[in-house]
Amino acid sequence: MANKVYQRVYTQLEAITKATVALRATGVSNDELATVHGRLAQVVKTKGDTVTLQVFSGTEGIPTNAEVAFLGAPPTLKVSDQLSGRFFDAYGHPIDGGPEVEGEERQIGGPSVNPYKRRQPSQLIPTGIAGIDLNNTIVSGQKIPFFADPDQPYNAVMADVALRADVDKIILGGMGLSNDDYLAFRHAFEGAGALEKIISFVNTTEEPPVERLLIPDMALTAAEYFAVDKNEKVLVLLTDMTLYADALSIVSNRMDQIPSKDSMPGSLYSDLAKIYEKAVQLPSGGSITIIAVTTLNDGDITHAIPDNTGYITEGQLFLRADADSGKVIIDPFRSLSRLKQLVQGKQTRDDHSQVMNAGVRLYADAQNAKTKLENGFDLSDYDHRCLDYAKEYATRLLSIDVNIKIDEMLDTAWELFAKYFTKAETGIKQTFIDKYWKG
Amino acid sequence: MNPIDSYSKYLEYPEIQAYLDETVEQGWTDKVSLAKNIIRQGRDAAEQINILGDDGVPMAYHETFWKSELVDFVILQQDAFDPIDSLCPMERQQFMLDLVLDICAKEFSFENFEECRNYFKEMINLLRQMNYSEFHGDSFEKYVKELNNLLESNGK
Repeated sequence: MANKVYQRVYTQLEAITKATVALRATGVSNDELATVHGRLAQVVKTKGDTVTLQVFSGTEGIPTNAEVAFLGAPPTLKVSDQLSGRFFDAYGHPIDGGPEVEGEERQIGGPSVNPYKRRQPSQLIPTGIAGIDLNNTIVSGQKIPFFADPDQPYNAVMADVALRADVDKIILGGMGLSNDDYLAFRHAFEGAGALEKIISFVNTTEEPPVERLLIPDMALTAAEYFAVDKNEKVLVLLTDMTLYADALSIVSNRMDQIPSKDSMPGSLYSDLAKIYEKAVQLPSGGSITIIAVTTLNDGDITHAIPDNTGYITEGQLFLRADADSGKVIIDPFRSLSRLKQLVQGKQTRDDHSQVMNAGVRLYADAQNAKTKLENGFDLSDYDHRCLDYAKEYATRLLSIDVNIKIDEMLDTAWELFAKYFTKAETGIKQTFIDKYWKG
Repeated sequence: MNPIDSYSKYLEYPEIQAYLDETVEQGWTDKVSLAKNIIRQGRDAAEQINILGDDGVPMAYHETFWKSELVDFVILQQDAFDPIDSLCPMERQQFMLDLVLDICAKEFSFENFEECRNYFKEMINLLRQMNYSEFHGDSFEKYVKELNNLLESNGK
């Protein structure tokens, strides 16, 4: 970022914190980029003549007489088909050794699509995972997070979902990824031979945390290019939004903003909504679907990050290690896709919603039987059947390593119903029993 | 919706009671509270069963619990995605509540709690199938008949 000729350079900083610097300057606009002592920075606050800049790589070693030059524009991304198959850093620069991308330069972080110009989401996105497709069907244009404990394989599940989903482009926004996770994503995408439809924006744990604030906007600007300009179905994967929010709090707390709950900035809801609300179904057929990861601290969903996320997104998917089957499963009780009824029985088989309900209800009966067992009581014949059913249901349907078509999921469920229960015990509508009961 | 914790103050208003007496039937709000009380009794029975075990409580506890399950499954649970069950006019609600309350007023005799459970599961299924059938249509009447047979085989 070389200085231009006749550019005004400021050399007197008024304040330096860990992530920000402040100085007096005029003619500066919000969100504008600048260089501070050769490092990239962005305007985050102006008050009178005082401008506060967040320095992405941190302020360590910056002297009070550092040279500050304003670049006159907010961060941008060059968009074109050349983005496909490439890996970029938070600034949109290639990190895969390839050439810079040529294309139209667009400002990142603009407004999301006018609600009036949107369509109701209505296209199924199959993932092959029954815990999602059968019980929590995902729809294109939806925004939904995984709530997961840090030790769960959420990135592997996301990579699976991405590669199986029938979409035109997959855009990965990796924030604070460990190098192992970054390489795992890279190998998964390269190994599947699907690299040409994948675009990645990656900030690893090695890089400064404040840089990751740019990642979602970069990823979504690319997504909007393909969805709006090219009418493509785009799937955006954001991992991990908890680390994104942590970066937000680093900046805001150093700007003497009064912190809100859990030391998060008071604007957390708006900051997250600005990202998630980019999910859209366009009338032209293009769409942006957002699947994010929010890691939980000790399973605490009342923490400000998952709490605010839950108000914005359309449901959530919970991963849980199931001791009975030894598998990681999608928890059917705590997971919910709020848009599932828009496609169930419409784009899937007519028995879908009833089979889903019966399957989960019987699984709940099994949990009651388990409580009984733990309390030292004799189990009835029904309890035993429920427990056996639950084990097989978890292994063959809820487990994240399942990869089958939705019709096969329904058939598997019918097979389990017939194996362990009577028709009356399932309580399913008679016309479906007549049509699909096995045995 | 939790049927015990949720309530409508309006059901206690004399004006509303008079209106429902006139438009639905005499004593409708009493029937609603009766059904609610069955749920309440069922919850208490379920608690005792959980504490003392299936064998540790008298048969009557199991019967009370399953009567509350009957109200829950047939009256409170409604399939919003089924074309018939999602639209339940007052006349139909009245018919089903009368039917369920009649059943709950009966006394049954069972050898053991497994028999009780199976009997009520069968009955709940028949009533659910009624909810999925056209009101007083052929299959609806067929389930009514099956239900009556089932009731004659045990209930007093």
